[in-house]
Amino acid sequence: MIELKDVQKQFGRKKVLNGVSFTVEKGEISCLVGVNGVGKTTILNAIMNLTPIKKGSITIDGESITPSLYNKIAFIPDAAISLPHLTIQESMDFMNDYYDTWNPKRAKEIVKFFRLNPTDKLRDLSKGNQAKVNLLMGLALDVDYILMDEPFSGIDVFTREQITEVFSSYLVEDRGVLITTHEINDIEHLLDKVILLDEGTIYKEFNAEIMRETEGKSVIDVMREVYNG
Amino acid sequence: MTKYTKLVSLIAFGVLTLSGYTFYQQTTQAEKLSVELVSEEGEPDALDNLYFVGQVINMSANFNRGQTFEYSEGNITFIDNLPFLERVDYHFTRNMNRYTDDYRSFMRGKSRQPSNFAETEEHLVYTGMKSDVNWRVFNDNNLTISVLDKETTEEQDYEVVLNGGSNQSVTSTYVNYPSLTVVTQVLDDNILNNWFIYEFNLEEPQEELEPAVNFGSEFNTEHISFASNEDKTARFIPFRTMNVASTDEYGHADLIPGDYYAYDTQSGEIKAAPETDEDDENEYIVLSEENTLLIGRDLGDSIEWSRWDFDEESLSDIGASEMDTPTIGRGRVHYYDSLFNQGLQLIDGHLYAFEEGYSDDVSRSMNDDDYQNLDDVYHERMSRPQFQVIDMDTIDTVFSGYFTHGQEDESSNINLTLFDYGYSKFSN
Amino acid sequence: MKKNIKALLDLTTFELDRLSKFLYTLLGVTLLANLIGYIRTPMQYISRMNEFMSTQSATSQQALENFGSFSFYHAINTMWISGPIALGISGFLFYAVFIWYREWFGKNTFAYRLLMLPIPRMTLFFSKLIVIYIGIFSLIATQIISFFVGFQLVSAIMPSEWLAGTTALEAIQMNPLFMYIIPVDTLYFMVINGIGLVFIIVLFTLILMERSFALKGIVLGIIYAGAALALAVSPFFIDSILQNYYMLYASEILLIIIGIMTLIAVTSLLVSRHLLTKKITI
Repeated sequence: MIELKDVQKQFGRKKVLNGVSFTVEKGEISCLVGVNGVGKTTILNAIMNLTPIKKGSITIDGESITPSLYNKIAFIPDAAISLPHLTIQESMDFMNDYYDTWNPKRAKEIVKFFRLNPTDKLRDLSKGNQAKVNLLMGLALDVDYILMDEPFSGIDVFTREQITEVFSSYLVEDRGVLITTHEINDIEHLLDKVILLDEGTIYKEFNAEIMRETEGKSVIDVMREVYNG
Repeated sequence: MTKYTKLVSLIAFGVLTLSGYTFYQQTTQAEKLSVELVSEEGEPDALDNLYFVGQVINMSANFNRGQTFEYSEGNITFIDNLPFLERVDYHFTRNMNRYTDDYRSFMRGKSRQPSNFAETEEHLVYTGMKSDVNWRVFNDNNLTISVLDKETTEEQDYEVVLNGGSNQSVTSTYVNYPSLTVVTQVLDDNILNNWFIYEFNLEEPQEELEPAVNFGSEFNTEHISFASNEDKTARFIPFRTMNVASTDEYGHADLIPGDYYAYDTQSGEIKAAPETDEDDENEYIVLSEENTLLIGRDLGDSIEWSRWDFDEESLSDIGASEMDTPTIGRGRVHYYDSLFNQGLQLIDGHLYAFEEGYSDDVSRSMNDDDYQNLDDVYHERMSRPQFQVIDMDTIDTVFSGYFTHGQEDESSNINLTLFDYGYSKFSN
Repeated sequence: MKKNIKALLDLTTFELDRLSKFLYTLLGVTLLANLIGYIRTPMQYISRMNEFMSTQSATSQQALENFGSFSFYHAINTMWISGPIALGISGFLFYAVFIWYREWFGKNTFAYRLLMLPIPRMTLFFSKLIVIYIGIFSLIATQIISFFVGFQLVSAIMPSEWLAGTTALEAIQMNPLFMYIIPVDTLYFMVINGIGLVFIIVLFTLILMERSFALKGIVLGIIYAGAALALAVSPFFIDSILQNYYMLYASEILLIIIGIMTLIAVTSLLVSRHLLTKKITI
């Protein structure tokens, strides 16, 4: 379980997170939603120890994050993070050198699934394919938790469909997934938990399916209530 | 493993090239020069209380750092062979090294000028001005006196103001425990030289001292030259006045010896040396040790010696010594100070004469314009430090010899020079 | 432990791969410039001699007396040698900064990947440091080899009667610039490299400060660098403070300097580790 307790973060004088607490369970797909600048990416960065928090605690299965935990939790950011002059294969070899949990067999399957060519250099890839490579690097790790930041941003509709497929595939099965996205419609039906952020705090935490069934509201409806109301 | 090929080969390339270069440099350069004492007469142990720091350098190599060595108690030690930290602290004055080795804490905070130290069997006495250890102090007349009891290692310190002139520096100090006789050189406001003698009693220390002798006013000259005297327990301090023979266009005076005197540290009296004639074209030598005063008349190939009875003011002949060369012991050793008899010392009744090198080829002089010739002459003159020891009771030469580099090859141009030399009865 | 060493080795190899283009360019420029120097400088001398002989109808001997003989020292005491050295020094200084910032400001934010590697983050620090030193030493080694090849070249070009008997080694030792970069004096070389190493470690720390605290980090960095510098030079002022130039022995001052440099290096490493593990921001 990923657990955030009273997490606070400030950039300069601006308070971005003001006491954020929530959990992400294994086998669950959770989604952080909120308008731009609300601190979604900051939360993911903070979980991965890529930005220090001012106050509060973040634990993964009860442990504070240390380098060895990167074998347990993977982060797929919203930016190309492999070196452009390397080929996909070289990038995979790089991962294999450092991660005990790198699964070459699965990597091969993902390459095939996304129809990537391992000898292509990253700098020659389209934005959509670069996003796929990012996913490949995260999903081919045998980790318990996966964090994804805006996996659908700036990519074409076909790639989006392909990526959506991932969420219902064995690739995320039994893992705890935390994603942030604006394109909630595509995956709404797959979500177990929605965490709605507003003004640095959690405005609402709910199960999307129950919400739909009991109140007849989609996630977008709830967001509208919050941000327009 | 192939993954690491580039890493391994670049590291290997760097390490091998750098160590190869270092090795090559060492083997090419380490043409180890050696130094040996060649005896022409007598036993080399006659020079056991001689010490000096010298340098051998092969001038035929275009670039070659010289190798510095120390000669002390009959042994030659190359400085490069000393442990690293000792080398860092090495001072090119042998006695300073001995003092810092043996009395490290006493030496802390004290200058490293040999003239600031006087050593006796029981004591090591430091007499230095504030400005000797703090170069920001000018116009200084604050004398620090520290006395170390060698046996108990107890140190006594005194701060004394020297009246009579500012900007003083200690030339030498004589010890007749508990009395100290301090000779200072003074620059007055007109940058004129003067010399003072102060008497200080360690058992009745005073905070201020008045000069016991003011040479400038007593002899009406700014040109005084003191005998270079290793024995700091000697009763007498010989000195001479210098006369101006001519003055060059820059105002620099060409000096010739005037009258010879001695100061008695016990009575405070100054007496002129009897029978030394100012108009005599031969120079005199005045040496002192303990209660003895010797006067020598320099005749070149020989020196005529007399014993000077200070109280009776009389001279008694003791004979003439044959000198190894017409100039040995009578040249200047240190050009920067105004001492005379720099190449002659009286130690334990023996006369030690030193010459940096001698060439009897008069057709070649150092003033020659021919560069090659100059180089040769320099080489010949500088590279054969010569010593002669004479027993002054019998006026017989007991040792005569020279130092040389052990290089067989005649064509090699190796220089051997000394830059600190002296005699000491005290050893490590 | 073994895993960490392997990770360091892997990362160093990886960083070296990224450095190699830059390094090979520097090596190439050095060799090329040196080569031009080894040919041009003696050729210029020869043409000057020939011109003198023809215009003054002088003999070779007279020309030699007029211009002096040519030694390898003249061939290496030119911009063709010192230029690439200056380029190498400034190049590696630049690279020491670039090696960090490219992870954030490159086309891709590779810092994500590096910071999320399941290895102690100081491994990144050390791999970058080692790679810079490998680069510097490769350049020095190349320069040394170039001298000895260049010596043969100059000796071949120059008529032997005009050539002074200076050996390659003597020519190298005569130029004070090489005292700093070539192990002419092993001890001196170690001192220079020790100071250089501490300098780079401090520089890395400053970069990490900026990467952790942005503008505040720059201010903090300036203060840290100032304090480190003041501390490093403080032994030279001990004499003045104590008003006595002989209060400390030279060996003691040296040991104090070594101690202070070690202190600065260790402090910087600890600060860097703290910043990398706790404060760094993507």
